[in-house]
Amino acid sequence: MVRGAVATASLVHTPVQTRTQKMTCQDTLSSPSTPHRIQLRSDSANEVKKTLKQPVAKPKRKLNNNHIETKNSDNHKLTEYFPVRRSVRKVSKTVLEEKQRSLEDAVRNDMEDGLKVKVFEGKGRGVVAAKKFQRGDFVVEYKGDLIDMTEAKIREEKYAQDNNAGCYMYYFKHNNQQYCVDATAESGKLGRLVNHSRNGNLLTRTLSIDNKPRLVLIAKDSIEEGDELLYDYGDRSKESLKHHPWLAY
Amino acid sequence: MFEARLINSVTFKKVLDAIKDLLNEASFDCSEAGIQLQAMDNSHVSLVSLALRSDGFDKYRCDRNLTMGMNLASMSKIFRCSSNDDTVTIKAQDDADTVTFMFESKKQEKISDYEMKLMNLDQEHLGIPDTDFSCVIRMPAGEFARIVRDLSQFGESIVISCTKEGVKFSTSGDIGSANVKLAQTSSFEKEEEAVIIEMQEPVTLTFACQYLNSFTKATPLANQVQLSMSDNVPLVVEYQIPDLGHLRYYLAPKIEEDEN
Repeated sequence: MVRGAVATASLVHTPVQTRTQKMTCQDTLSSPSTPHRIQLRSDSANEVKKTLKQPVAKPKRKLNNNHIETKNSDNHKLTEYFPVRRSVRKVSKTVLEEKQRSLEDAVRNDMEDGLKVKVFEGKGRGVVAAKKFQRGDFVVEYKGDLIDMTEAKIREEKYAQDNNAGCYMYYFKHNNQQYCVDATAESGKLGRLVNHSRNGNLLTRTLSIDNKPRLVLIAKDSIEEGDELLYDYGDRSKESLKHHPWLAY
Repeated sequence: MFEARLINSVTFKKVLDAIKDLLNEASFDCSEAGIQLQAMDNSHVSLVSLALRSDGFDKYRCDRNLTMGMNLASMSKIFRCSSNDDTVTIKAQDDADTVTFMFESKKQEKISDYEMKLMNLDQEHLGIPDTDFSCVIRMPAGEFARIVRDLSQFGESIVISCTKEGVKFSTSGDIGSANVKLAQTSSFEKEEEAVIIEMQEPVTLTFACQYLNSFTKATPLANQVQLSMSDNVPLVVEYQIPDLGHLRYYLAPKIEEDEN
């Protein structure tokens, strides 16, 4: 290596020549010969010492950290024994908050994934699962017009005159106030097409988005692909049963 | 809003002295239950775990959980400005980027406020499992500090071996070797001076002196220290802070020669 460097030094001029000068300088350091040279050497030796000292001094300043680190090559680390729980540490409260947030996002984005409309003989349209749902998963929103009770009464009377109107009014309580979601109007939304069963696989849940109550259907159990989605309309009134006897089942 | 008041500010000072050797900065996690701190030293060989219960404070209020990253050297500077018999009140707003230390002198004639900038520390938390230790040694904290100090003159590591008969601390180095044996005390007259060993199985482990020495900075906090050991598990050195909580140090053992 060194020989190669010297050889190139004879070919190339200035830059490498300085290097060879330095080398001779160090040579004189290691083998002093004449008093004449000693003078020169002590001078350059000081310089060499200075340059040597600087890098030594730096780690000293960091002693606290570096010192320990070098010594510890023969020490086990605690991370070998205890698992690191960086920020993945979640209290049950944050888990709950996250769930709520994902639910809200699903409603905001009008999610209707993994659902299929199917026509059932005898009861008309229904919705079946096109994918698996886990218990507690958001399935679909029961979307319609959010109306108050007075408006609901007016509409109810109007729909009662029309035998083909069907049953699309869902009454619920949110923060101690009675509301109704009216999905009678054909909207292309799937929530309104989910059929009734007293032992369905969905639950209704209300949540507040931008201070407006929304009605969502949540998986009550895990739901397999192809299962029909059903939930309890909750209406047991005599009047309703007269018009829709299937509500009893 | 967070507010914690401690009549004996010297206790907090001692806690600080006990951890600032190992840690440059640390996050104080405050909740309704109290103040907690968990942090490893830079080399990840040792860990400090501090718990101060809220009921140990003379006044404690924590409306929302908050984490305050503090530079311990700066904090130490602030506490050095206080007298031992001062009352300290630590205050922070919920989303504040500063913390205030207020010291009141005993006769209330002098009140000093120090506001310190908080740091955002991204620190790793370790999940420490509950362990049934093979050996649990309780001994006077001062004695432990003395043994560690003495032995670290001779070698870089200390072998702690615990048997039915007692506990032995030993080291060896260039000049020779040193052994200190402690027998279990038979009389229980002075609880503070007792050496009590609870042993399921004998254990021998090797630890670096340097860390043990840092741990003994907590000696002024408690009369007794508890060492818990099991094979292939970090050592736990625990100091009880009277009426307030505890300070625990965890130390990973040295790699034995035959392990390589």
